[in-house]
Amino acid sequence: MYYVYVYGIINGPKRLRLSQKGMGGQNVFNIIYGRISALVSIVDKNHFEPNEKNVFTHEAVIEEMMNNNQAVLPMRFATVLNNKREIKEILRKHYREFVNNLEKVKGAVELGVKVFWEAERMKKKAKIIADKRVKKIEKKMAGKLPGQKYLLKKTKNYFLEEGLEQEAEKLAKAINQRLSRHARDSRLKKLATEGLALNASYLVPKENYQDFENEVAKMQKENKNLKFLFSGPWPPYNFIEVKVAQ
Amino acid sequence: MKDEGVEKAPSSLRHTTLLELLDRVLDKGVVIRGDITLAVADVDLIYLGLAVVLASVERMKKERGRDIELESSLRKGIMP
Repeated sequence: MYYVYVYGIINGPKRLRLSQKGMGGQNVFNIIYGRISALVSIVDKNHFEPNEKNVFTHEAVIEEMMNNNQAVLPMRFATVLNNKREIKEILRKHYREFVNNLEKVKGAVELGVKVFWEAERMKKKAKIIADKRVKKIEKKMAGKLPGQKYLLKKTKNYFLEEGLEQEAEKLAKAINQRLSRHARDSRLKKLATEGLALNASYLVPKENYQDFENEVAKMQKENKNLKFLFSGPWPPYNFIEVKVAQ
Repeated sequence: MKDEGVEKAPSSLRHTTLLELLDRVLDKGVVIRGDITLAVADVDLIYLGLAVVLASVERMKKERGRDIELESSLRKGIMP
């Protein structure tokens, strides 16, 4: 049985053949509908097992288009349809959304910025504040209520978490203020893990790429206590606003 | 030239780790769901499966128990 593996959606009704081979070494071509098309290759079911090589192949196909100055909407890995008709049907049904999304990401790349902080030091800092707040409450609780100790412990944990979240929020705001100037859009996630204060993706016009990268480097220099991890340019994985449900 | 950095391929290898790529490729992008798709296994399963293959995701360490299950399900093939 053969299937159609989809890499991404692009503008343009022109027939293409990419130099990058697809899954299983098959040729990548496009299936056209109106003024957009889907980048695909024919696969059998053993061609797209989740392994490193296949993930890189998926990305490499999309990057070839990006590097040709084409706007691309990247598909999630292992998007496979039964036949060409099905992909045409999806292009038809969601035509407007695809066109709008392509317009939005045109001329831009996604850049990733992860900001790590010293979790232990931040926790200590938050703990001092939490301790103070709990002490205040303890004083107010004149009599010894049953379970008071337990409640205070719970409260302290809550204050601790709240303290960390507020610190992360402050940090994210400061960083975002400087980076969003160079970007068209952003996706921010705070404290995905206790060490990862901020995990951000930015949609950056190509002409701002260098300024953006410089800004990140500058912030790294100014903040020795933080570790900035810059990545990209990526296809705009984080900036897709299409809901395809049949 | 200012744009040079953007144009060079493959960009994913220049700056970053496989994990950065996985976070995007497996978790983001256009998602097609529904009957029409040849429902390729649950994304989580692929994610964890890759982690088994690559041993590069920390959370796998915590899920040692599930590894064996996943590995065997991967060997059987994730396709229906």
